[in-house]
Amino acid sequence: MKSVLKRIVTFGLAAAIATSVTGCATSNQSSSSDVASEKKSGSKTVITLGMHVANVDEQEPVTGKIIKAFEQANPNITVQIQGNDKDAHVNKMKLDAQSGELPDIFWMDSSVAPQLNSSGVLLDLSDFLKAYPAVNTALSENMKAASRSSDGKQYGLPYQSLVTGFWYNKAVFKRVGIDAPKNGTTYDELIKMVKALHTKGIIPIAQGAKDAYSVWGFLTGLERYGYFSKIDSILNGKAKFDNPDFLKYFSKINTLGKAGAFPSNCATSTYFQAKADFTSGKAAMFDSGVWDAGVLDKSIGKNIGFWWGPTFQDSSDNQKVSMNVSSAPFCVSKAVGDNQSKKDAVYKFLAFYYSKQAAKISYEGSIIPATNYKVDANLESKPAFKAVVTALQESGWSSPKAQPDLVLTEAVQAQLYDSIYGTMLGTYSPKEALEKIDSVQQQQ
Amino acid sequence: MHWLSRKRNILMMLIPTLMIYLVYMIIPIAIAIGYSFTKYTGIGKAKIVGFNNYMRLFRDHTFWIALKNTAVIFVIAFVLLMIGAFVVALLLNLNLKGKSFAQSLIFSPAVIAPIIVGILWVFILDPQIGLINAIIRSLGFGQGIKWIGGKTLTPVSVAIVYFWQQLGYLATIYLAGLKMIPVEIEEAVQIDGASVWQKLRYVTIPMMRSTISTVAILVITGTFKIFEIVQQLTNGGPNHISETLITYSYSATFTNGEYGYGMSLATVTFFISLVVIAIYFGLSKERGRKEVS
Repeated sequence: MKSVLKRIVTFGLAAAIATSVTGCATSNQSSSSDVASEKKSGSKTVITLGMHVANVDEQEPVTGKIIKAFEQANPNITVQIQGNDKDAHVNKMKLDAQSGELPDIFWMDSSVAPQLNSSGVLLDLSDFLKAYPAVNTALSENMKAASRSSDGKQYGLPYQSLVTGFWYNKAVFKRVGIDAPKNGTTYDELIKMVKALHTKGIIPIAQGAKDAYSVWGFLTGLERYGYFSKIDSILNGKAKFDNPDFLKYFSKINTLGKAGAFPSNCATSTYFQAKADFTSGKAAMFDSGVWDAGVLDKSIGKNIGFWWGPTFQDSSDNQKVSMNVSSAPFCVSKAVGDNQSKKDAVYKFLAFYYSKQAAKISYEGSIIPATNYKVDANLESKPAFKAVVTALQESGWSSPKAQPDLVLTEAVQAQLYDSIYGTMLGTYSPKEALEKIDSVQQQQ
Repeated sequence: MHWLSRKRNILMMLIPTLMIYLVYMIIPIAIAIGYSFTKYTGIGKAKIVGFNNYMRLFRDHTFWIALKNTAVIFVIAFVLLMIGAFVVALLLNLNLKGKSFAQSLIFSPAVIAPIIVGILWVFILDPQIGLINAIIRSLGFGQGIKWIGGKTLTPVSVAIVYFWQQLGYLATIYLAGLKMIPVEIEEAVQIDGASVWQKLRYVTIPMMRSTISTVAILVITGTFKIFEIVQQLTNGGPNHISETLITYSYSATFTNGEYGYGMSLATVTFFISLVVIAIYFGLSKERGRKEVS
């Protein structure tokens, strides 16, 4: 009897554990089916939006405002945001793509979006552009081309305009008694500035190597040595990153580092610490982009300036290169195309996102939208944003089809960043830095 | 008792635990090893490439840097923790005033999340904003030392931070082992007139062998898993010179999107830690046999 009782207890325990494990799974399944049924039921259509920030209202306030304005204008559609930090978001989207659970619309890293497109999980947005000609016109060709495959499939549309360059603090330059940079300032003039600033104990250019991607201003310099005239051959294996032009450019970055252009703790600093150095007046220049305009309006105010980086006299390529390109795209899950009401809602959202009303919200929030509408906005209270707009309006300056890193795979992209920082810090010689990029490219 | 001693019943009772272990440990490890033979970006289908990832790994300069850093961290942390935690446990085992307070204080770093430990130590070790260099500068001894972010000291700093974090936890395990030594034996040793060293050498350490083994395994596996501290202190940089095997594996997998290559790094790390544990057990078994004979 005792033995039977023990058996019953043992089986009971085993069953309880097994049930609790399966119970978890069942509970998850039911909750996801609840969400699914919730989406279908009622008069409201719910569309999901996967974002690369954990808190859209705080970290991407302009997008948050556009979503709210859209929901007000379309009370029958609700936008459900699924936000994660960038790396977590990209990895989650990859997993969701595998399991067929992608959000309806989602932000995607430019190097990963083509891979998602190749795996057939993205909706072709060419139909959307045909259905909304105003949006098609408002998005310039280079903005659309950045997310179009060679077979003509429009697998994404730009999230925003990506405008990058160097911010500078006029007051710091005045304090040191030297002229601030302006568009057209040469590399030799920059070196003189760096030396003067460094001697006075000021960080010439705030950079944080711990966030390896924070090299935007230096990426623009690559195009001044003919990046886009070479990159196709490099990616086809017919040419190399280690070429005489890029070697000249990397040697110059190396010389800047040796001249003391970067913070002494650059290796252990983050992009955010670099920004803090700049906003606190410890640094004269800061490698960043338009997304920091709001913060710089408040911290530096009327002393803020913006320029496209140095020009190079030893290069025969176009030097008047600005950087106003498509940022990472918004993509739409292919599954949306199978559900007409969902597809209508998604198209309505995209039409609103690329509307004049949304463009106005963007400008008011110091963000350059991907569209080219002319919008009346008072920029006097936004000196940083005004500085960017002024730089964009400067005649003769043009932007390449994309930011140089955005046409590379993730691994090559990461090595490019690493090589630029390695050259700045003197960890790599210029040649070694370029050879490393070639080495990773060959593995692709 | 008879019922419990039957093989079939023992197996049945083990099944739930084994199932969980299989699903959450064995199968993921097997899958990771499987992916290490593929080229996979995380999207679409993985392409089998045989031993390519392993051949690439042995040619990869950063892999050797990561291996060297991991070895430096392991050796320093192992020596410091095995000896330091034991000494702390011996002190805590004495009837000293304020013992409980000291025990809580020494244990406290173990309850702090590793990511916070990393952030905390950035403010101590950073060459420019760190406390140590601020003191060095204020005393007029130059601009300070690159404790982190330089070419040599980062793995040493990581080992010190790990030592600081783990000391109290491991000392507590040692202390539990010390408490299990029967009082009668200690009294007998005292009556026989053994010195403190003799007591330690011939009674305490031999009777603590299983506790020492447990601590050793925790230190070995722990040092091969140090991730957050490195991420916070240097993020593996600058230019991968402070990568450890595990941070490099993460970087290859999730930053570079090379899942196959990242898994080959993880697999090698797994087997290296197994080998180190096997060597430790081999050596301690040999030592135990010699002592018995």
